[in-house]
Amino acid sequence: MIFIKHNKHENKTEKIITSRSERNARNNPLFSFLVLLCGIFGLLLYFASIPGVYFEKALAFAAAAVWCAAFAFLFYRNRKYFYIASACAAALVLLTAVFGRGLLAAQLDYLSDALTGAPAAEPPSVTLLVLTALPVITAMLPPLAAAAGNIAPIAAALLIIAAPMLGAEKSAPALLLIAISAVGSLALGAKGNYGGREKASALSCALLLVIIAVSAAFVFPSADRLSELTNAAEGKIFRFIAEKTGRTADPVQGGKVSRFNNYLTDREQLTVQITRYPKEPIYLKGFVGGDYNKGEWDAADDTSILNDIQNKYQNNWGILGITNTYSSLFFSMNLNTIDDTIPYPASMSVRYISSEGKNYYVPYYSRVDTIYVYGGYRFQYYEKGDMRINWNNVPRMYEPKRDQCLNLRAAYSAEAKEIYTRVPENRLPRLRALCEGKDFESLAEITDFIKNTLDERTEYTQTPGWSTPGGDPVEEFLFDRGRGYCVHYASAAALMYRMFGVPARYVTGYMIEPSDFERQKYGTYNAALKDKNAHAWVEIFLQDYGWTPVDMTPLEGGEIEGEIYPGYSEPEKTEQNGGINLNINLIPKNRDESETDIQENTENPATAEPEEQIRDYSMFERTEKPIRTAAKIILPLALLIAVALLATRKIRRKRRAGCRAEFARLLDALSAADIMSEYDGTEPDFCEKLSEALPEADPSALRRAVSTVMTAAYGKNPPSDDDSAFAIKTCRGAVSMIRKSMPIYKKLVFTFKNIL
Amino acid sequence: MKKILLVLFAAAAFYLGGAYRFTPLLVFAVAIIMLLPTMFILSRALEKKLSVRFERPEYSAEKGSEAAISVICENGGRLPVTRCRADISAAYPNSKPSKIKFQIGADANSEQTKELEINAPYCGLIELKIEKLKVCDWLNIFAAPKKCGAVCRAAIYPKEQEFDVSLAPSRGMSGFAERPGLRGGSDTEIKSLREYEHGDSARLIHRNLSARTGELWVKELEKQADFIAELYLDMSGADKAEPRTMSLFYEVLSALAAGLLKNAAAVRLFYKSGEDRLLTARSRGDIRAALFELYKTDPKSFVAAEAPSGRLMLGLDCRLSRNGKTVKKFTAKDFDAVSGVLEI
Repeated sequence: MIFIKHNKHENKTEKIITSRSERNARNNPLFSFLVLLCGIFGLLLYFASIPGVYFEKALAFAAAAVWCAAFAFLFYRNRKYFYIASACAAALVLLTAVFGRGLLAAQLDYLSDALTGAPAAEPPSVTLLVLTALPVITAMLPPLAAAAGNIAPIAAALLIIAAPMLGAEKSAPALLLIAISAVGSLALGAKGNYGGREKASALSCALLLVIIAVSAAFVFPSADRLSELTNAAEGKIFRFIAEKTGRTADPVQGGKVSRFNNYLTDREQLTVQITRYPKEPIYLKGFVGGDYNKGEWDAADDTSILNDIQNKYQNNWGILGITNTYSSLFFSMNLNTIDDTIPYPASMSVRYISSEGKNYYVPYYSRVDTIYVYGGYRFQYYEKGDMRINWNNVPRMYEPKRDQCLNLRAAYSAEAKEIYTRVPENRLPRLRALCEGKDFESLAEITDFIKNTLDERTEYTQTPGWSTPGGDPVEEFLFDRGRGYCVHYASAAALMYRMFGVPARYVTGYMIEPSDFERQKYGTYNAALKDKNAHAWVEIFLQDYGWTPVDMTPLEGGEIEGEIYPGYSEPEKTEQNGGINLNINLIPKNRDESETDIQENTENPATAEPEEQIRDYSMFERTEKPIRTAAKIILPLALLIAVALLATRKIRRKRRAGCRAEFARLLDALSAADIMSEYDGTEPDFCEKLSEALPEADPSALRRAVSTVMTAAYGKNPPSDDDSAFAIKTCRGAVSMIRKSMPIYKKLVFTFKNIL
Repeated sequence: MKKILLVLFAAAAFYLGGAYRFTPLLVFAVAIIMLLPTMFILSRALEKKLSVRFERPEYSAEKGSEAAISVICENGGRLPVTRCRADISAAYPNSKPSKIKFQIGADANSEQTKELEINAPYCGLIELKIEKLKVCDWLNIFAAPKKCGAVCRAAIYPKEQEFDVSLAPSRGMSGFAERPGLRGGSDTEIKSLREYEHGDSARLIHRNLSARTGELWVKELEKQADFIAELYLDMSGADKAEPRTMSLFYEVLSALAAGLLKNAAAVRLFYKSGEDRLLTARSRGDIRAALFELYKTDPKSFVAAEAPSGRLMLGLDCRLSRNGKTVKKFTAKDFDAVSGVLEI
């Protein structure tokens, strides 16, 4: 039995045939510098392309070049000076961190905002932060590239993949530089002292450039088709899983503005039965959005508004209470309006099939009739076209109730103007800029503006692609991708209405076209609601209708169609507003003002400058954010450094312990494998027994190794380097043999025990 | 692994590029998909112009000492080869070959030498063979296999040790050396006296002189010029013997022959390998040459030799016998410590 192994770094080993130890050829510093520079420049460009990240590029690039040149040269020429320089750089960074902590904290704060998708409209500079981080990064790169050739390409791959998630839309040159650097360092990383590596590295980079050029020529003209290909594949997988598992998500997903594509299944979710064939689409509200924040609508809380009103007016709302009175207010008024043309309300029952009753679906202009009948509930409702409330033409006996309803409407309307016009403008700088300075005089003009904006800027599709996790999906829909479906249209429209001070809410639920209904045996009409019926729209508050659906979603490939809302007409025509007294304030509101009284708001339009608004908002969270951001960045970094330090310490200890450490590991392995677990290595027959247990091992080698370990442990003089190296390799070989014989779980336990 | 990672990266990039409608990522995905066959072709192209061989067909080394075997990588192509993995096997006769992976490379149109070190535990002949070559592309994604089959042999000789052999006066040379060539007589003449050196036989100490001077003096005896020692070797069963057994045999043979050479002008080694064979050693170099002959001989061809009456016979079990009676059974310990004079 001959042990032959390839050993790269040790001069002498126990191996009978080994490759003669040789130093890896030192790379040409100039070439290595160029490769590193590509990487650093790529990183800087990448960083700069993240929305909301701004720094002095010229300064940063110059600093990067200087640091990179210094570290690359020192690393490949004189390691000692490299470590000294690294220590100096670390001290410099530490000093900067100490003396410039205030500024750094603020810049970290801005950076955190940018990375978490809330970039400021005019991003503040993070130059100091970049300049502080540069020496650390540049000092780390050469050892990383030299020690583990695969780390750089893996890191590069992760950065490239993360680019769209960070919203680095204009990062193509950065990605190219990063890829070149990764490929260059991978080709440079070959071990050995033979030449040609620089040439191979340069040729690899050139080859990559050619391939990327060819790929770009192929991809750019057909990018949409390729995207559709991935969407089709994703959709198929989604449907396949839905089909196989029988589980589908509730298509009405609450207030989250989807960042993904919308894949429909044919699964039936609800059954709706009505007593009269509808003349217009029926909207069933499932979720109503209140405040909007970071791509999500909070649920609207009408109950607290109504409670406030109740507390304020102390009216007697009868046995129904204020909540029920309000929920059926417009239905009741329409029902009690003396008008022969108003038909008797229709009846609707809703039953769940597979949506598990997560949402409670309510038609507009309705009143709850019965709850929980046959696994659902029933309403009486009017269609929009049948709503002809005349507040002055009600039966005398209903007049007190009418007055009460009028008061409630006025109070609610005032509250709605306050609450449902809130917009986090600092998080939507582009939307704010779009709506700013528009001088509209009527709701129709506003609606027309919104309609035209959506028509011009966007295109309806169920597969708009994914939005960046940190970015705002509404802004991306309007300004970047220009593609979306109902949730995006509804969210954008709701926010724009609110920007102009029109109370608006985002609603998700089901929309049922008349054609979806089928006549049943007993004269009723049934519709089975599927995913395709799930929909999102805006509702605005109209005086004679209450919350009224406004559907801004166009048909696929077409324009927004339909009546939009009762009384809407083209702006150039006479503004009638359907008799609605909106009394809206068309000046954009700001967040602080929303806290104030509605009357005050009307009289004192927003006076604060946008910049001030941003600053105010930043101040609001500034105290917490630097800490959170620092924690986000520093903690993982500290963890990484701690792990690296521990690993280094372990390796150093192992080296210091020499063959004894390996022998201890061998004993551990024996113990883990339940072989000779009663032995501690000092027994005279240890070697014999070990040879019997490991028939593949060379007994004489084991004897020599054990003898060396004993000398190391108890001898007067330490064993020779040769012997020590021999013992280490023999022990390692034996451990490897023992590991092979272990069952998997024992192998895992042994491995992890060793790591820990 | 790298291939799998790259394919995964390409798939992830393609999927994310499509999902986010991020064209640069789609470009990268397609570029990686194109890079894979390019690197595959490159590895094949590099392989065609590359050859790896041993510098010499035969090497020798002493057991326990280091010796180098040069492996030459010759790249006749215009492109550099940065990574070429050679699977090198090494085996003693009757032992399982062990393999190492050896990385080598060479710049364009150049030759690069890399050395292997031999530090063999046993004496014998090691056969080294480059079994497989894998020429990798520059990014180490694909490895093109290439047949090689370059072979070299490394003869591992015993250390220069010798047993302290004494020709017993009572026996004279009878049964030990060829009578016709013997000068006769039991005593050898003292050529000179010198100070004791480590390893000198205690028997050669000139006791009277040492007692007088207080320092150890040894006698240097006149070599018996026409005195030829004969040793019969029974190497039958060598084809089944372990390298360790063979190693001990060769070491004993070498040390014994060296010891005999101190007393005789030559040592003749008789053995049977198909037919009767004779090797004569007059110096240490001759002993090595004789050992090399034995190393090279097909182990299966050895058959039991019969020593004539009174002649010494050394078996694979390291038993030195005469007329079937054991004179000495050698073990590994005989090399570790001074074991006294071997009276023959």
